[in-house]
Amino acid sequence: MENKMEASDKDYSFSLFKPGSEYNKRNRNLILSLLLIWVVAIFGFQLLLLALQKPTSEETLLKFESVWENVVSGNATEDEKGVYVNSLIAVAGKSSVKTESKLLLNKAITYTVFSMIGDSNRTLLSSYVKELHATREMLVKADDSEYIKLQEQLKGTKAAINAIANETTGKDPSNLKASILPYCLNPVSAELTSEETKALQSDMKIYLTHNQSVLTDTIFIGFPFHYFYSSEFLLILFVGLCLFYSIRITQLQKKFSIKE
Amino acid sequence: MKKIFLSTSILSIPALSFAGSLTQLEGSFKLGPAIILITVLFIFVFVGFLSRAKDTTDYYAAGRKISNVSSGMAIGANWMSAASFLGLSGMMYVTGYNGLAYVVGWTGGYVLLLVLMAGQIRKYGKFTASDFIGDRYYSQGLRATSAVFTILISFAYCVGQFGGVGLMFKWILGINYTWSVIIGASVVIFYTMISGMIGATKNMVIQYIILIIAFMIPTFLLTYKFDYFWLIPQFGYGSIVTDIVQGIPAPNISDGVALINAYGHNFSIVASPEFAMPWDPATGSTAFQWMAICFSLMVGTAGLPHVLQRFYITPTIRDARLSCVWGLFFICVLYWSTPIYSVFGKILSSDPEVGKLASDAIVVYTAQLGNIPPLVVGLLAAGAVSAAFSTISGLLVAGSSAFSHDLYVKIFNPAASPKAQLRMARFGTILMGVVVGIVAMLKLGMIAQLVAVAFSMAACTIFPLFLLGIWWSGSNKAGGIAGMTVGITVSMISLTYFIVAKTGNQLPGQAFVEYWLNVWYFAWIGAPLSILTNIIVSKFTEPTPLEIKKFLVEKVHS
Repeated sequence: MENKMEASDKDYSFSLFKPGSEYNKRNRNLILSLLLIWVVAIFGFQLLLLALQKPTSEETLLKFESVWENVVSGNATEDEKGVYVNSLIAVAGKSSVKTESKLLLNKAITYTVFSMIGDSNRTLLSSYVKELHATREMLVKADDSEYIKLQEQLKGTKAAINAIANETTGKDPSNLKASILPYCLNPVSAELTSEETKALQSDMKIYLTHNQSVLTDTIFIGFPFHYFYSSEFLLILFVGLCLFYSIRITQLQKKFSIKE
Repeated sequence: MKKIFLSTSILSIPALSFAGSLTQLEGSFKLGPAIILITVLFIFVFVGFLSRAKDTTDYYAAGRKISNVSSGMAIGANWMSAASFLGLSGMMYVTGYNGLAYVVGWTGGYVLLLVLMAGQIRKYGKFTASDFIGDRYYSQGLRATSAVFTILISFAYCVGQFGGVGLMFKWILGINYTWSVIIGASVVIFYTMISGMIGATKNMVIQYIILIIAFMIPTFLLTYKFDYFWLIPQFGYGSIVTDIVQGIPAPNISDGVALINAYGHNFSIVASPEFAMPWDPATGSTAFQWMAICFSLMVGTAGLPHVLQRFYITPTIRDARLSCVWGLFFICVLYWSTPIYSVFGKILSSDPEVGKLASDAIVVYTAQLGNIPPLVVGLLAAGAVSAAFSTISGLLVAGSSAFSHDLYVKIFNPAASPKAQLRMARFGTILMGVVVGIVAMLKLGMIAQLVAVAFSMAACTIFPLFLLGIWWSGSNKAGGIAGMTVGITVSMISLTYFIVAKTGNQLPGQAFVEYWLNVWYFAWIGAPLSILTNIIVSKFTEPTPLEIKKFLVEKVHS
């Protein structure tokens, strides 16, 4: 479209919001509409997530809290200690746990497990745990043939540890927590300090409380809905917006006889 | 039908050829992957040799004759660095839902680029981002400043790429990091130096094809092997996310062999909702950070010089727009697949024997742990090298163009002959490549980490100049300088606190600045402040010259 304008400063002023020609007005409307969809789709949804979310505890946290007072005061029964250790393992088994939290969890698990087994078994358990740690270090440097041997050795050590300690996690040796337990034990048991006890309680709340809502709990083609929305839908929308803009702007240019 | 492919369970992963720590990449020579890698390197050099640049238009803008689909592939390859290819999955593995802010941010920015800039940049008809800024704001100072920023951003970004190249070369060829950098830098400098943008772009098309094939094959194999919907793994992995959130009970074990559990799988994981829940307390991130990262990356994407420069290479303005659409689509193909590696990484590392995976090359770790054939893992590594090379060559062209075209020709020697310009462009490529290589060899981790600053810095400095320069004729030289000054100031504050923290020291208000002006997302406030300053100062200073307004109305917007 021809811009037949006077050669004055004012006539050549241009902005997105004062586009001048009809073509530019249509282009502006198209751009602003797409940007509005873009902003609402991205940030509107996150704000909605924020508005609807409620801190929700995992069942493990409820079990942990039900025995926590007795464990701290030293009045816990064997069953309560079992619940306590299981809840700690459920957190220690998460791969997102930070190193300092993992060390704390391991210390608490080791102390409780050692306090639950007989005196004669403590030394034995301690030696098995040492053996487990040593074997794992050797695995790092092993070649293929050694690796398989060491794996067999590791399997035997884990079974021996579980045979002593599985009272704390349940008697089923294929129990997931039973498989995690050997890796949570230290060779030497030590009681938690009062600061560590507080830190442990705080860590358990942090790792077992999550921001959930109907948007996170609804399953959509296998995904938690909010995860699908951000990882799949938004990307599809972006490609769609771009495609729509390209087609529409070409149509507008044809309509207004714009030649590029 | 349920399948049990692993002879032993995930609780006792077989060694195969990956003996040793499963969370470290073993650095011995591997014949199959080495053949793939060396072939790929030869192709890059050969294509560069065949596409030698004859003049500066070839060198800076690929002769403006790249079709929109090829340009789209080049945009995709140029964009997807070693960090995208190797590191993004790691980011999601460590930070869960928060990692999606990077996926959304690095793709959403292309919508901004298309509707606000792509066509207009091509209509303006320049060679580089600094060229546009210098002409539009009729300021040699802004031209020089933006050229220096282009060089700095390209430099930091390039150094970061060599970390990925070193890791993959070591894994495939068993050579140390220094030799990896020497070989990698030699190849990429050679083909970029002789062919400039034209050879870099043609290679980027090949690199995109290699990297996307390499990235996709393991996703099919992993989903098939672990009995998830494998025909479209990008949708099939949804069930894995849900399994991670809800936990998978242990399978029964008989004679050390894992049978299937109630879910039909031979692996297990404790419930880990923190992986998928938004801004989970376990990750230490907040909703504000999610949105600030997302915004900064989107605006930063639309302000990165080596991205903007890609719109100068198409024959027509329509092609520039279509290349953006294709580019985004090609990028999304990879980003739709990226979370697959993070979810499998999560499941496979739930084995206490494996432990937490290092996030620097989670894609390769996951493929290894999932018992993907070594040759396919080798292809994956070649894909990572392609991703790094495509980005490095794009950055070398952007940096050397800023050096030779914007600084040498436009400021110091406007009378330079076309031959002298081309010579200077090649010299700039070699100079930048060699300096990048030397710095990369010094392993200054700090430089590589500065890539984080690039996006927000581009968002605070270059994006506002392009946005207002294109869409408001009232934005003038004084406004541009003031806006850029504000952008640089905010960037420097964040950068200073970042560097001080990395050296183990603290400044007053360290925690406050690290949270509100973090290097990854200080643009959430820096970019709007820069735009606002540009508008206010422009309103109260001498108006834009008539010929520039006239050019905008007659050439760019009609």
